[in-house]
Amino acid sequence: MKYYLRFLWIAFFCGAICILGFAVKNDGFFASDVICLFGMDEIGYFTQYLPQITYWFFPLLFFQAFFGSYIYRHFCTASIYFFSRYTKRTRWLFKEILRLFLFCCLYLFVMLISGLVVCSLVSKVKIDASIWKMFCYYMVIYSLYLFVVTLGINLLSIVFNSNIGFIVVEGINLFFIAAFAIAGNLFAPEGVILEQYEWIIKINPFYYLIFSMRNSNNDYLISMLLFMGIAALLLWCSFFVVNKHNFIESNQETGGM
Amino acid sequence: MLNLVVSHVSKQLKGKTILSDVNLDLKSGNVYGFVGENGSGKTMLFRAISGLMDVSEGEIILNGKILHKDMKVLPNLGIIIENAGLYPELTGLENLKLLAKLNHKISEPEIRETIKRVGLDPEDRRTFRKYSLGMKQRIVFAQAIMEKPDILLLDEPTNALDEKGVNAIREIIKEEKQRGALILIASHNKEDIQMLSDEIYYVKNGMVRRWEETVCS
Repeated sequence: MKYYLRFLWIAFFCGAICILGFAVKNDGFFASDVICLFGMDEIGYFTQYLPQITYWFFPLLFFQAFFGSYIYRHFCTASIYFFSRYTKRTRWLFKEILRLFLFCCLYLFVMLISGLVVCSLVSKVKIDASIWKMFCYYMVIYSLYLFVVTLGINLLSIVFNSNIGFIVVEGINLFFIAAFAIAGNLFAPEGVILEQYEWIIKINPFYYLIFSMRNSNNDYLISMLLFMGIAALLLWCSFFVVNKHNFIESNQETGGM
Repeated sequence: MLNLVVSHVSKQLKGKTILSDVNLDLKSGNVYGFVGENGSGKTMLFRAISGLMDVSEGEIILNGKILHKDMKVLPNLGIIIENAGLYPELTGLENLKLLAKLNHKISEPEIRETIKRVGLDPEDRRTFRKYSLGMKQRIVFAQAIMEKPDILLLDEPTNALDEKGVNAIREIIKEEKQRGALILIASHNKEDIQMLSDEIYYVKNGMVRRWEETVCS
């Protein structure tokens, strides 16, 4: 646990770095604006936004890379010694998944706090009425997204190996990001996506992360429900995979004998 | 008194037979040695007996209880599998504490005592990753014996050990036998097997035969 808590320093650092450019450029802003920035509020569906998408995506990628083996590590070298002692795999997995989700929340929370701290040091931050609402939306949507991707990496790593787990999940992730970024160039000649092509962007999960695309409370609710649905599906798969796993090979990925 | 029966156990994996109609009748207080070449099926046999791997056919029965039906893995089991290490980012003591916490059978002083028993220092702050091969083997052996298991499955327990280490492990195995544990050892080292075992089995192409039978035939 201590080993993973160290990673919160990265969250603090990423939060501070990400917000610094915005904080220096602006003189006084609302706290909810800072939260919206972390929710990629300045992003649109054109390729010109790719550098910004990359900029905001990197802190999330760090987490996914680091915690991509959080559950899987128990299936590496020490798995034989761990699971020959502990037979209640469902119970164990439930606890590990809960911890992983808490880490997701903690990581985003630290990132947000460090961003707010940097903003208040560089400029004036006003606390506005919508801060709590935006805070809740950000925490729920992004922690679910982070959880889904990280659990996906862990799950595929258990079934195949960590390389396949990371490459496949991040490959899908990057495909959706690229599809989102290119959508405007292809289907929005006037700057807004043509009605007949709206479905193309609406089937892209990445679209549901972008706060600039969320116009009402209902939109935020749809985002939450989508990621909750994917998380529920992955949870079901996780319990199935972990309970059926046979310890046939000695996995030496993380330092065997 | 434990009675472990392996009855007509076979295992197929990706179309290949790994274990073929294995039959064993094993009793506590005895050491059973398994010899055979690399890839002969010794490790797979141990994985199957432990319950960590399903079998395709047959049953493994401990005192009338069937593995995978009445229990998921063998209870109170100590196991070493060749090439399977511990958590690389933790020290030896931290590794053993983490594993001991799963069943809460032993206290920290007992863990420390076990580490000393295998010739290591519980205060060593080096992580498992930085241990030498011999030290890794010793600490893995320590995790197997620390909870005074009823059944010990030891796959190549003296691998990578120097003469002093080999002798220490042999002595501990004798003490565990005296305590009444049922011990299975797989080793390339025939001297280990001959010195420690009450019965010796020969494993070849997934088939297990009594050593005397293979010598006579």
